Order: sequence, then C-alpha cells, then structure tokens
Amino acid sequence: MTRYALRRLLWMVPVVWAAATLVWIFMFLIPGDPARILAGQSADPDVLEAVRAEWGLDRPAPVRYAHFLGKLARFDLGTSYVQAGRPVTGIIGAAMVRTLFLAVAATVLATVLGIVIGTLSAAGHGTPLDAVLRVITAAGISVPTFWLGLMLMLVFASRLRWFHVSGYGDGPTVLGIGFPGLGNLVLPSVTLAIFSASYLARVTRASLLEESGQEYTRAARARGATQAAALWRHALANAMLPVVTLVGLNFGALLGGAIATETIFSWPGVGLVMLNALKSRDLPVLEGGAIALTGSFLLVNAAVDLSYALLDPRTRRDT
Amino acid sequence: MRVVRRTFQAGTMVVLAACAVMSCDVPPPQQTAREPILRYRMDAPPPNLDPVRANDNNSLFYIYQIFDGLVEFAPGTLDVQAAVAASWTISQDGKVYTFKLKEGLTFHNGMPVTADDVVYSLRRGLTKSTQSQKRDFLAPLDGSGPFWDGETGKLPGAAAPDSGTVVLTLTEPSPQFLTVLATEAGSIVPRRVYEDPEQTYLRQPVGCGPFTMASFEPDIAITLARFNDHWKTRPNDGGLDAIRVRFIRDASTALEEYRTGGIDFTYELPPGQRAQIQTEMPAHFHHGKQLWIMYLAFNHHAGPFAGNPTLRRAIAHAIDTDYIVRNLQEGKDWVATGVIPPGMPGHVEGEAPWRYDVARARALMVEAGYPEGRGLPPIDYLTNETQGFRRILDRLTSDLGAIGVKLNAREMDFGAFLGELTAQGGPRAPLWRMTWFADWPDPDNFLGLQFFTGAAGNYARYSNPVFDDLVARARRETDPAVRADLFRQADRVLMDDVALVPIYWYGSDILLRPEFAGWKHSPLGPYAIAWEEVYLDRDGSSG
Repeated sequence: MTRYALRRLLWMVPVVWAAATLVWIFMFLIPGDPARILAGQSADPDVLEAVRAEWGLDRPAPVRYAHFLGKLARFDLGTSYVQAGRPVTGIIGAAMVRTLFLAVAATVLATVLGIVIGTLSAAGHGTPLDAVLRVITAAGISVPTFWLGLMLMLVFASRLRWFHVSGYGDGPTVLGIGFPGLGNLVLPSVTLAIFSASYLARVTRASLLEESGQEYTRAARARGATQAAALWRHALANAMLPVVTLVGLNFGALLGGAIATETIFSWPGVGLVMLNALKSRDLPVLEGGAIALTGSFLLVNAAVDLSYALLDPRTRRDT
Repeated sequence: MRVVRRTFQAGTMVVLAACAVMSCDVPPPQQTAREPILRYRMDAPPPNLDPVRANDNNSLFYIYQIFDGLVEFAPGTLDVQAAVAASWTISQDGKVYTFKLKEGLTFHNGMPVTADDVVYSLRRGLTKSTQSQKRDFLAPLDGSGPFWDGETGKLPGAAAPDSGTVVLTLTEPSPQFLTVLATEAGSIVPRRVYEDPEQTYLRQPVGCGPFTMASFEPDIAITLARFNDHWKTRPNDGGLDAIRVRFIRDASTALEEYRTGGIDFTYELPPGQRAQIQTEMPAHFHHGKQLWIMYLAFNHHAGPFAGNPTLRRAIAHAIDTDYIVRNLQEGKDWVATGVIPPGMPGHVEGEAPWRYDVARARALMVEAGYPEGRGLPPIDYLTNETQGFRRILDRLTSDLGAIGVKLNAREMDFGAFLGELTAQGGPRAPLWRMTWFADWPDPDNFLGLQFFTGAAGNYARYSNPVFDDLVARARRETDPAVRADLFRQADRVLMDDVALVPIYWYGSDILLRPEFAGWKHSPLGPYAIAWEEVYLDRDGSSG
C-alpha cells in the first residue's frame, strides 16, 4: 500500500513537468506583449526595453525555459509582473486556500445531495418521485453555472437577503489562514454544487439500480430485508466506487474550473486571480496558477485511487 | 461499508451544521447609523501604485487620492488651482514657472514636503530606470531629452533655489504645462522613501495627498484612510474617514451589491439596465461627460483605405452612429462629431461633417472604384472583446454590409489587441476600433499624440502636413483663444480628410448614495473625483 502510494506520488513528477512545459509554451505563444501592457499603450521604446530586460523577456526562448524550469525545481514560481514584486507562490497559495474552501464546501454539499437524491431515486425506481428527481437532476446538469449563480444571487441575496451578494467576507483567522464569512460561502458553493450533485445523483441511481439487481441484494431481500434496507446496507457500498471516482474528479475540476462562479460572486480564488492575471498578462501568476492547479488535480486523483483500497478490499490486495 | 456510512453521516452533519450557522449570518438590509466611510467598487486590483508608472484608471484612482502635486484640477472642472504650491508666477516669455510652496505640509510618514522633493519627483518622471511612462508629459522641461537619454545627470528645467521655492524652466512656452502638472505626472513623492532600492513604496505608497494607504488585502480590498494633516482636511470637518475599495469584477454583481447596501459607489452599469436603474434609483444615478472618444481607425499606411479618402468617406456615411449611441450605448454617450471632446478647448460644436446616408455611401463606393463592394477584399477589423464592443461590431457588420463591404472581425482580448496595434511595422489590419482617453486634458493629447506624423500613439500612421503645421503652431501659441482655434482647425482637417470615423464621446454613469454630498463629476472620469471634498450628509440637508 505504501509502495503504491509512493509510486503514485513519484509519477506525478514527470506529469507536472510535462504540464508545466505545456503551460510555458502556451504562455510563450499567447498573443500580446506583456512588456507593452506593463509599460503602457504608447510607451517609450527605451522603457519597453527596460521592462523586457527587468523580467527577462528579452532573452531567447530556450534560456527563458531553462530559467523557468530551474526555478520550478526549487519551488520558486517567480514574482508577479504587476503586483509589486509579490511572490507568485504567495499569491497563488492564498488564492488556492480560498478556492479550497469553496471546493470543499461545494463537494460536501454535492456529495450529500447527490447520494441522497440518487438513493431516493433508485429506491423509488419507476415511481413519480423518481421521475421528478430525474427531471430535477437533468435540469441541474443543463443549467449554465453563470446564469444559475446570478439567479441564486437575485433571489437569496438581493430579494430575500438571506446571504451576502458577493465577496469573501470576514471569517475568523486560524493559523494565519483567513476563513470566509459563512454568509458569503453559501451561494457560490451551492452554485458550484448543483451541477455536481445532479451528476452524482444520476450516477448513484444508475449504480444502485445495477447493484440492486445483483444476487447478494436479492439474497438480502429474500432474508427479509426491506428494499430500502437492502439498498442502504448492502448495495450502497458497492455502488460507491464510481461515485467516489466522480467525487474526486469533480473536486479536482472545482479547484480549477470555478472561474465563472468566482467571477460572479467576486470570490478571490485562484480562478479569479488567474483571470485578472490573463488580462494584465501577468505571466508568472498564470504559469504558477496553472501548475498549482495541475498539481492539485493530480493529488486529488491519487487520493481517489488510494481511497479505493479503503472501500474495496480486493483493490487493497492488488496493491 | 462502515466507511461509506460514516462519511455520509458526517457529511450530512457538516452540511446541516453549516446551514444552521449560516442562517444566523444574514447581512443587514441597510445600515441605519453609519460611519463616514465610502465603500467603493472597483473591478480589479490596481496594477501599479507608482505615479510615474500608473497608466490605467484603476491605478490612477489611488494615485489621485494618495498624491498631491504643485497644482490640481478644481473639482469638477479642468481649471488648475494651487495644491502643494501656495502661489506661482509665470515669466513674460512663458518659459519660467516659479512656485512658492505652502508652509508646514508633510507627507503621510510625517516628513516635511520640500522643494527638493518636488524636483526629485519630476526628475523621477524623466528617469528611464524608473520605467516612467510620463516622459511625454514632462518633455517640455528644459534639458529633459539629454536627461532621459542619460547623457547628463543635470535637469536644468527643474530647480529648488530654497526649500520653499521650485523653479521650472521650459524649452519653449507650453500653455498646457500647468495642466500636465495637475495630473499624476506632477505627483510629489518623498525622496527618502522613493530612493529605497527595495521599492517598498510599490506596496505602501507615500504621498502628501488627502488619503493614505491604510491596508491592502491582495485580491480582496484596499482601504484608504483620511490624512488628517492634509492642507484641505481638518479634524472633525465631516469629511470621509476612509474609502474602502472592494474588487468586484462583474458589473451585475456590483449592481446587486449596491442595491442591497453592500457598497456605496459603483460605475460601469450592466448593459441593458440603464433606463431601469434611472427610474429605480433617480437620487443615486448620476451621469457626466468624460474626455474619452471611441472611433474607427483606418490604416493609412497599407490596405485599401490608405490614400483613398473617397472610400473612407463611403464608410463614414454608411455607419449609423445615432443608432449606436441611442440604442446600443443606451444614451450614455454622445455622438462624436470630431475628435476633441466637449468640455475641452478646441471642441467643435455642431453637426458631424457627414450624415448617415446609405445612398450617398453607395455612390461614393462607385466613385472609389468598388461599386457595391466589388473588387474590395473582406476588411479585417480588429476589436477587443467586450460585450459592448461586440454589439457595436454586429451593427457595423450590418451597416457596412449594406454598401457591399464585408467585415472580417477579429475579436481579441486587450493584450492581444494592443499587440496588433503596436506590432513591428505597424498594424496589418486596415480597420480597427480605438478608444482614447485624456492622459492630460489638453487637445494636444487628443490630436498631437494620435495623428501627428510619427507620434507614439499614431498607430494608423496618418500623415498630413497641413494638420502637422496647425498642431505645431498650436503647441507654441500662448494665447488660449488662438490656440483653441488652431486645434479646432486641425480637428476639421482630420474630419475633411476622413482620417477616422468618430463614433461617440463617452459619458460616465455612476451610482452613489445620496447621503454622500459635496462631490462633483470629474471630466477625467470617476477615478479623478475629489473624494476629499465629499462628506456624509446624515440629515440630507444638502438637498
């Protein structure tokens, strides 16, 4: 098990390198001269030259790439072009923590909702409740996040005033980490959770229905268990493997794919920070953000794989 | 199985507990008794807080609050009034400006403001290694060229004969020089702080303006606190104690924050809601003019428009600018009839030199050698991608399609757009959308910097000796009326030559709570509003 975990972690090194290289190439190819944006629309050529020299933008591509990799190997992602010399690790680290709060809240919410709805739907297979829940989950998958976020904001923040419209809020600070205001966290996390919950519900339902047709479930029914008990006590655990995979993938995607939600709710997470960086061609922040997201996605995937061993003893033996 | 069940149960508990706590954390609908703090919305953090490098509206907002110059714009106008200077005199030949400083002024860190700091600040603006973007602003100072090029360490144009006197000498009379000094280029910084090689001032700027940088929460908010030793403010004078800036990128979100009392000030209203907002919040809604223009720029160096004024005129007649302003811009802006915007000397009042006239445009297409567009290749049109510009693009495509001109739109983000305009050898596209705002509010900034032969902002490579001569004469002219007339003539030359198609001059919409009184629109834009003049009118007595 330990060897398997180590092997998984070691595999991440070449993957991160490949991802970092791809990111660097994309940054290199992205149109628009960062020096021109930094120096202004009608900048003096001398100033342009000085800006390029300061940030190494005047060096040949291989030299820049080698420099980039050298720093990456030392976990140094450089300093921001526009944020007054702030280290990228600090910028992305702080933003990542804020995104993490959002992603965790959304994942917990989505997992609970998804499994509950999926189980109810499977338990009531073919009933009107099942039909209603399937329509709801289909809508949850189809509705665009941007629109959903705005609607939730208009109803629950503007109209009912149950929650804050936007922002991170002033939660407590623990060990130097600023927690979000709970009233600020609800709407963005619900917005993010709706899609995942709907998808999870459908996967849970399908998986449960498949397991409920297995012999061991039928045996449980034959021993006198109710359908709900057979589903809950026997089929659910076996139906969880694809659900856990999906939860993990969703969580990884939420870490990097929350740009729309973060923009609507002005949540200063990694998506919004990278969007600002893209507009100002703050390449180190963009590179750092992309690498951090890749790394976190890989970590989440590794964690999901390892969790199989906990859920399914057969997987444990294989490893 | 147990793991799954426990996880499920724990998750349920967490969600239920969170919901219970969250329901107690409901924002108040509206503050009842409030402190004099302005909660200001900005779409993104400022890229730069150094006055010599700042060149965008977000950064300039802070620069205008944190720094003072020798002179400043009187609130709501382009008139120049004394700031750090107590008084000044100008020599007979218009070349020597002698400023006497107010006594007893200090920077935010308590250090006295001296003439040496003023001279240092101007030299900084002309020092290449600071990556200054104010070279054009300060170019009139005697010796600025060799100083910038590093040929000499002396700048004879800026001197401090004593700690309370600054003497600025120009190479030739420049009637716009006081205006330039009232912009960010004239910001005074404390020499001892800004000589720090660690550049701590980039994060903690120090000036002598009415507000100090109190806190900077990256990506979240910035708080400016009132500087009680500022020459304008006095303790307990009712002015703002602080401005808390929150970064809210989306305009719709900002509007909802405003509606629910989360912020007191926002600008850039979401599209399609202007009329509704005016009706819903008439006491909050304010509309003013800005010294900005949006126009279509022709490539005068290459492509079908270069050297073909008839074709350019056909394009001008084909575009329904009234429709664009009235419907697409929701009446926020003004149909532009020239380059120099209203409120600036040299502005030409009256009708546009051409009208929307499709029949005339078609006739001109025939005259230009492209009847119904035959023989004319699809026109590459560059624009940066914003919701508003996309709507305008749709209208332009339809208007120009009506005369047989096919637009090949290339939408891109601003960085790529700027890259295209400033590409080596000039832009390749024959047509693009262009916005220009006043770096300093003078017609030379609008005409000279964009259309003078070889000027830095002349991306279109327009060149017309008649125009150049008028601008050159206006630059030297000291009589304001004659100078304005020369710029007026230069503006007409551009229109007669159809050097561009002006679309609209910008207006600015803002929402500000009515309890904030004493403020005035700045012609430069919302970023330059003199917030130190604003106070909280708790009983609404200001009307």
